[in-house]
Amino acid sequence: MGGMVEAIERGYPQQEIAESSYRFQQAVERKEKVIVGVNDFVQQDEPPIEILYIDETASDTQLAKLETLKRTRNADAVARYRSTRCDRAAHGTTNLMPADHRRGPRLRHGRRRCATRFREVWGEYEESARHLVRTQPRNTRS
Amino acid sequence: MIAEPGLDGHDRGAKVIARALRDAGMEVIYTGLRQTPEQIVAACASGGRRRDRPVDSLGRPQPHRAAADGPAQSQKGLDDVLVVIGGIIPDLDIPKLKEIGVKGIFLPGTPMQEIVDFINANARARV
Repeated sequence: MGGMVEAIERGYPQQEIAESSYRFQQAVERKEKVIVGVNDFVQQDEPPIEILYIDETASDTQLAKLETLKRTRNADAVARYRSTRCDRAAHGTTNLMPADHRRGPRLRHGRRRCATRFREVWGEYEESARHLVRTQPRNTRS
Repeated sequence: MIAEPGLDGHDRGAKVIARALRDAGMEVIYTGLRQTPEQIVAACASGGRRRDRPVDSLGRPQPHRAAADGPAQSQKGLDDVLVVIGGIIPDLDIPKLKEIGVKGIFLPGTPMQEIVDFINANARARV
């Protein structure tokens, strides 16, 4: 197939995983596999579980902190870092981690400091539906 | 249409359901991972036209509470879309989800056939 990168691009491991989970689910439903509490020995009249709900204000607080950070940090230094170190890393063949994770007290742009630049250069992974199934989809509407 | 909102990789269930629906003879559009509620609604509103296919129903496995509000509330012109949702959903959230228009809620252990039957019984064809 040409190695793991090629295989992933062609969706081979993704298809195998999807295929395997589907077969697993079928086996569970036929009770060939038992998941205690799900398809066998299911507890009747289960007492309600107390659930911790995180208040919406938690995300507001966190977003406010982020806004403050972005406002107060040295924007020029961040931009410079992205257009130099991150850019070199994105276009090079060396290990990405040092550029992405390097600690620099003045910059304060987080551990994934190059993530934004990497996304700009490479784009984002988009999952393809062809990775869902091993065989060609049946044509249900012709 | 099967969509998976959020940041994580809990796509296993989504893919199993997609496969089950397909094997039951339905046409399935899977939007891929890490969709925002807005993206899901947009994909649904466009009827998957980009891919030359109509959208019959919208399923959202592994919801996040905030993500769950989005699609149902902002279904503009999508009143005829059957919204179903699946995954680990706290009991307390179930009435809230129903209130905002989620028709089917499927918890862990639901047989695939039950979901297929529910969609067949409740989704209306778009002409």
